[in-house]
Amino acid sequence: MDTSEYRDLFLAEAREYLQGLNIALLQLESDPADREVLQEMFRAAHSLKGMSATMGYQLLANLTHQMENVLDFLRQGTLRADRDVANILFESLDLLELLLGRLDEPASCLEQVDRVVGKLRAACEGSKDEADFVGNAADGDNLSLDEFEKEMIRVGCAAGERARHLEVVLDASCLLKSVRAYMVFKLMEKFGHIVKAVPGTQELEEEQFEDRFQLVILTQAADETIRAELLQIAEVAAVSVRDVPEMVETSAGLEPAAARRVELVSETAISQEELNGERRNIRRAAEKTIRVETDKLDKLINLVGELVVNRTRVVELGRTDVAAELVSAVEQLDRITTDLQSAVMKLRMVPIKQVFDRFPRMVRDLSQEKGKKVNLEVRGEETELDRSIVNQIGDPLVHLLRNSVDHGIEPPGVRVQNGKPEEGTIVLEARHEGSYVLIRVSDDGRGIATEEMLQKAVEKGLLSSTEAQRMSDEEALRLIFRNGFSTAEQVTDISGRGVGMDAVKTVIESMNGSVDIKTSPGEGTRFYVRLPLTLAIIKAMLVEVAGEIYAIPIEAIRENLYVAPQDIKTIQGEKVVNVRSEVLPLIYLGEMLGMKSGSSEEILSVVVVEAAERKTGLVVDVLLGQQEIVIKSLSRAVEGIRGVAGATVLGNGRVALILDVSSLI
Amino acid sequence: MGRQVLITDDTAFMRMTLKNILEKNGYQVVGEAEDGQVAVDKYLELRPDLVTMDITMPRMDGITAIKKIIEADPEAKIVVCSAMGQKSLVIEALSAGAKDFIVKPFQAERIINAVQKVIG
Repeated sequence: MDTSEYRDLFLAEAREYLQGLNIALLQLESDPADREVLQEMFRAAHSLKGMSATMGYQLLANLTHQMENVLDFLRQGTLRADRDVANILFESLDLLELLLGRLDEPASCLEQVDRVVGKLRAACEGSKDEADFVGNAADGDNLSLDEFEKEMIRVGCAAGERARHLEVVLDASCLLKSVRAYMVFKLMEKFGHIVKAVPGTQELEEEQFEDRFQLVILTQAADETIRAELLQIAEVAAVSVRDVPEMVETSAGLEPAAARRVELVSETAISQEELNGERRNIRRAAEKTIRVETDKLDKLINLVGELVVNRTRVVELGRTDVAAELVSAVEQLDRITTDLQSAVMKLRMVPIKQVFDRFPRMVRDLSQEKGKKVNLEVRGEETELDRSIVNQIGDPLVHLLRNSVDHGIEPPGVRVQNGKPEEGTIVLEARHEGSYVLIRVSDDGRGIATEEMLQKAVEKGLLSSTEAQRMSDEEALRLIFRNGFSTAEQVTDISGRGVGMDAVKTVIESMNGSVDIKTSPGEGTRFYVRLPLTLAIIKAMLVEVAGEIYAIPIEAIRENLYVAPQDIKTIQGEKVVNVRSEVLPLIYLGEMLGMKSGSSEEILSVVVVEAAERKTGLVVDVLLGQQEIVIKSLSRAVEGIRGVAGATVLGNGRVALILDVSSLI
Repeated sequence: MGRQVLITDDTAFMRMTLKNILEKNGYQVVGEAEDGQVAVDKYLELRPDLVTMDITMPRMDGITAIKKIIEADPEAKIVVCSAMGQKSLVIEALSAGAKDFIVKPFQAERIINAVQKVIG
C-alpha cells in the first residue's frame, strides 16, 4: 500500500487525536474516576495505533499500543489514575508529538521510545490483582471453562500447582502473530502446562485474533518469573498474570465464584450502556467537515473581493440613465454579491478554540514549575475569528497568561495569609461585541501597584519625576506596555525571544486591535484585548491629497478638525496647533508623501490620528468620507514603502493607497 | 558484549541493506554468505556473535544451515529472516534453534530491536 499520499492526512488527524488526548488527560487529572473520559482516551489511543500501524510508523504504533494498554487497565479499574500514571501519560503524549514531527527519522527517537515504553509497561505491571475483578468482562471475553478444564485445574492444584490466567498482548506492528503465539506456547511448556487458550489454538494458528490472547495454565513458577520471561520474547508488548476468575480459593477448596461474577458482569454491562449513550467526541466534529487547503481558500476570497469591487462599479453605472431591466438585473447582482461576500468571509472564520486549547496544559506545567496553584477557566472558545488573527494572537496571549501565573498569582502560602483561596484563578474569555472580538485575561492575584510602576519607570529613565507625578493611574498602568519597561526576567521567559508587554501591544495593534489593562491592588489584574473580526476588510476614512486618494484606517483616527491658518504656530521648527489646551503636531501629508499640495484653501482639513500613544494631525486637501474597503496587499516590488500599508480598489475603479499611520508619524 | 555479525541472504541487495542498518547502529559485519553452505563454513571460520539467516536459498536452505550450525555450536545465536507467508518455516527454524525472527521487508527499528534482544 502506497502510503505517501496519505501522509498529510495522517499527520493532521493524528495531531487532532493528540490534542484531544491532552485535553482529556487534564480532565482525568481533576477527576480520576471519570470513566467516560477513560473510555474515550482508550478509543483515541486505539485509533492512533491503527493509523500508525497502517502507515508503517512502527515506533508510533508501539508507543500508542502501550498507551492503549495502560488506558485499558485504567478503564477496567485494575489501575488507578494517580499522579505518577498521569505524568507517564503526559510524557508519552509529548513523545508522541515529537515522533509526529520526526516521521522520517524515527531512529533518532529509539532510545526515548524505549524508555517511555518501559515506563508504560511498568505502569501496567503495577496494576493490582484484585481477586474480585473479572478478567475482560467489559469486552465480553469470558473464559468459560468447561467441566473438563475445571477438573484439570482441581487436579493440578491438588498436586501443588497454581492456576494462572495470562493475557498476552502483542505489538501492534507484529507481522507473524501466530509464530509469536507459538513462541509463547513453547515458553509456557517450560513452566507447566496450558489448560486452555482463548482464542483456541486453531484460531491462533490462523491468526484469527487482533493483538492479544489469553491462556489458562497450571504452574509452580512465580508470576513475576513468567511475566519477565514472556516479555523477553520480541514483539510481546504486555503480559498480565492473574487469578483464574472462575476458580476462587475458599477454605472449602476451589469453587466457582459464579454468583459474584454475575453481579459484577451486570454492573459493568450497565455502565457500558451509559457510556455508549453519552458518547463525548474527543475528535472534533470530523464527520461534518471537509479539509481545504488554505491557498485555495485564499484564492476564492480574493476573487470574491474583486467581484465585490466590480459590483460596486456596475451599481454606480446602473444609476445613470439606463434601461429599467438593466437596473433590476444590477440590483439582483448586488444582492447576490453581498450574500456571497458575507458567506465567503465566514469561511475565514475559525473558532478561537484552536488557540485556547493549548493553554490549559501550558498553565498546568508553568504553575507546577513556579510552585503556584492555578485554575484556568476558559470561556467562549467557540467564538470565531478571522483565520489570520487566530494565527497571530497565540503568542501575545501566551505572554499575558504567563505574566498572570508568574507575577499575578501569589504563592499558595501568601494567598492563604491574605485570606484568599490557595488556588488562584485565571479567566480566559472570548466574546463578540459588535464587529469586534473581546478577549479577556483576568486573574485574582496581587494586582499591580501603580506607585511601583511609576518608580520603575523613573528609574529606567522613561519618565522624569515631574511627569510621573502628573500621571493618572490609568496612564501609569499603561506604562507596562512601554518599550524598555520589561524587566530582564520577563524577557527571557518565552522561548528565549525578546518578548515583553510592548511586543504584545505591537502585535495586537498590527492587527488593528487594541489592548488595555485594569487592576485592583490585592485583588487582581485584567487585560482586555480587542480585535476586529476580520483583517481583510476595514473601515477607512478616504481623503484626497494632491489629487490622489488615500485611505486611513478608522482604528487609528481620533477625530477630524478644521483648522484656520492663523491658529498654526511653529515650535522648534515643527508646525503645531492648540487643541483644547493640548499641543498637536501637524504633518502636511502632501509634503510628506512627496507630492505637490493641490489645495490652497484657507481652512485646513486635519485628520487627527494616534499611534504608540502619540497624536498627530494629518493635513489633507479634502475629507471624502468613510467607507469599507477590501485590503489588497501590494506586490513585492513596492513593499516596504514607508507609510503605506497596502492598497484598495475603489468603486470607481481607482486605486487608493492605505496609509500605515504608525510609520508616518 | 561482542557485536560481530554474519549476514546470510541469497540477494546482494538484501545483504547490503542489512549491512547498512547494522553498521549504522554500531554492529560489525564480519562476513556475508549467499547460501546455507557458505554460512556454515563462515560461521565455523569467523565464530561471529550473531548470524542472520535467510530461509529460502539455493544449494542449502536456511533451516538446514541452522541445524548444522547449532550442531557444531549449541550456543550459536541465529536470527532467521523470513518473508510474510513463511509461518510454518519460521516455526521450524525456531524449533531448530533460532532465537528470533524478523519479517521482510525490513524495518530498521525491528531489526535492531531483535538483534539487541539477542546479543545486546
